[in-house]
Amino acid sequence: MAGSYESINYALRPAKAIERKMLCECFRRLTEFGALESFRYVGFGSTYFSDFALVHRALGIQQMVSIEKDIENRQRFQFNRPYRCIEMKYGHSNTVLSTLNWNIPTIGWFDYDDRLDAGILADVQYVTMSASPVSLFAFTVNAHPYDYSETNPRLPQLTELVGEGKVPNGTAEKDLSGWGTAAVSRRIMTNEIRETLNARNGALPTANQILYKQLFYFRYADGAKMLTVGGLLYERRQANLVAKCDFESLSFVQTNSRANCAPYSIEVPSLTYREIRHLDGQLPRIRRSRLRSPRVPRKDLQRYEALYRHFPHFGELVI
Amino acid sequence: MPDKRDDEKGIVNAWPTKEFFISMLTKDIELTRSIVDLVDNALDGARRLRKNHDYDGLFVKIEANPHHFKITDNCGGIDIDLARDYAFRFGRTSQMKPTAHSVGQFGVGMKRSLFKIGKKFSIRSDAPTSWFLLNVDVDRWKKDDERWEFEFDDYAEDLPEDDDRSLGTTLSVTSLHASVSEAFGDENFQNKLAKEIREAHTQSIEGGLKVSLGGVPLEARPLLLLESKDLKPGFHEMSWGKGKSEVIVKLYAGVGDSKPGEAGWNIFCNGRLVLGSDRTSVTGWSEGSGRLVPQFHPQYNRFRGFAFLDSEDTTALPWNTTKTGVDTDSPHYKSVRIEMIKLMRPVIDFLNRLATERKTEDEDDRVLEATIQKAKVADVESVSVAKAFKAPLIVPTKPPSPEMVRISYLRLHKQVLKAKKKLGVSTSREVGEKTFDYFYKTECEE
Repeated sequence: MAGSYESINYALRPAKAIERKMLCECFRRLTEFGALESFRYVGFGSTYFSDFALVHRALGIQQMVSIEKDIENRQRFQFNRPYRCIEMKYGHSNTVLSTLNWNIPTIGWFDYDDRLDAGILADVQYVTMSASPVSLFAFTVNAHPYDYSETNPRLPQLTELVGEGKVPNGTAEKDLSGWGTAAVSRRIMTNEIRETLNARNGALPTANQILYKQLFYFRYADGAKMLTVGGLLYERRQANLVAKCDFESLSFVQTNSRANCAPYSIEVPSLTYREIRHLDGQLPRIRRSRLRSPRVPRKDLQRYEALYRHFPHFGELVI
Repeated sequence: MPDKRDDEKGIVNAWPTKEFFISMLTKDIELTRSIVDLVDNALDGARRLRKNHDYDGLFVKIEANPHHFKITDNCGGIDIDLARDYAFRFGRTSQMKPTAHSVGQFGVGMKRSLFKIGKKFSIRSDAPTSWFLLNVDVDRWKKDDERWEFEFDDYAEDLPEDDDRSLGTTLSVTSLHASVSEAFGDENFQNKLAKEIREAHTQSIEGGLKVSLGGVPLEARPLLLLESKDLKPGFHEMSWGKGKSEVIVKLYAGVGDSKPGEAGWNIFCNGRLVLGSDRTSVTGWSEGSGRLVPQFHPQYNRFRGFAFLDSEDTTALPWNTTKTGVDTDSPHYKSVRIEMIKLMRPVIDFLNRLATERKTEDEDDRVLEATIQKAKVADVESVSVAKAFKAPLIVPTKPPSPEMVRISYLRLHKQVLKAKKKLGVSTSREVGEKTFDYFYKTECEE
């Protein structure tokens, strides 16, 4: 099966690029738990390895594992590794994850192209049951509404993909339109994490029980609607250190993980390079001052202000 | 019914009837299991006697024929105080001093078994400083719902410890229930009983306990795993609780010989098998809609998992009252199950690769198969282990199998005949294939 890397250059997806930088900024907060270099990064590097390059450059992490299911094109992935320290593991993540040593505190970003299904939930479960505290995870899935017709409603499609016992009780057809699929997918993934932790904690002393703190609930659409869910797995006795990380001060972090919690939407304003330079000159804004740029809609000004530190700069380059 | 006195009119009768107890208790246990339970009782005596679990010289003899049932042991006997206050109570009281690492937990085993088997039973037990004889006619005892006591027919206590009685218990049942009598006369039942006792108590038999059924000694079923330099079972140890309630868990997952009957997880609580060769979700199979651990399939006939849970305090162990399974709602067991899933996952991957290898590689190139052939069987207690199951990581080439779709349709017979002639083929199927290929070549190929 061809990966989406063959049709899209990951680096050119602005919302994804912004998300990547936000995640990376959040990862940096883990310094409270020790040197970032002691963490391992696990992800799906594809041929572009954009996340790997950023994490290595920004955080200095050297233990890196990229899981690649496209076994036939091994040489291509090997060739495209930007840094020597990236170890390739070939196979489906369902099988590869269990071959990793999970005693190493891990930062993982599992950026799937697919819709949430039983296979992805199995990964969520495996990571949650295995990751040593403290570890930080993000799972990205396609959350575009399923194709709808009267004879082919969405709810049975969701049930078919994730399994009957996983769809939250009371989910109705109307809950799956627009961003609804993303909201329901997040709930399903969060339930999986909670259930797995309950089981994992059964025999652990209270201080060593593993807790989950949601940090990410992103949604964005460079094309299809995408959802990112994730957070921190830590021991109860580490609560002080978690507080010191002060994740809440990051505007894009969403720690409320209740069923109806609000997402952080990454909405990319359409601005010219000149407008961007002009706006950057006014940022960060002094209180009560207003961002100004001729005829740029107010909404886009607000969006830019929220994202400007993570905003990607694309341009043609003559090499 | 006589009129009630005024002071009784506000009282609601909630007394249990003996009939209810007997029928409830005996319903949820199989006959074979109830006999295994009686062996448990003898074994608890052995555990009191030999704290080091070396049972050399101790025996349990079972006779089960259509006329009577008898189980005799020399495992120390039941002390008269224990018999008087606890052994025949329904349910165990909290004041009772527990037997360390015992297998009888709930205080229902012996009564339930006796009621299950027949209507008259007799117990003679010789303990170090006392002995007793107790005969019970269940039908007679059942008639009076007010009196729940049994009466010793004879007993002696405060005896000197060094008299030369041989210590132990003999339990016999007569007036067998018709179905029980029939079962005892059935050779297949005897075989099944022998198998279950052997399996349930294999660890004690290995520890020297001589168990026989109808005079035939029962041998331990060895718990074997394959082991070599390249092939090592995964091992995980965990514990919870403190002091006497500490539970120590040892988990092993690996491969054994390809035996359909033995594949799966085996869970032992204090040395007693409570779940054998399990391939259900209780032990993690089909987890994550089958994506984390697949449903059991003959491809996994080599899978072997062993879980040993031990505690001085029997009540700390997550097993059910019939000792035929684990308490799946127990938070502790849920936690153990997670570790079982983690241990079995790489074994499953290995067995998947082994199956692919068999399909795609020539016999001489089957590296994984060769690894298995070279490995030696070892007892689970002495097998050398790794943190995670170790096996060669060779990934055999996938069989070339592009997805195929069947097309079928109807066309006029005359036209198909004409096409056959033109194509120079003899079957309608070939007409379909050739015409499709023709269209694909001209219209679809780039």
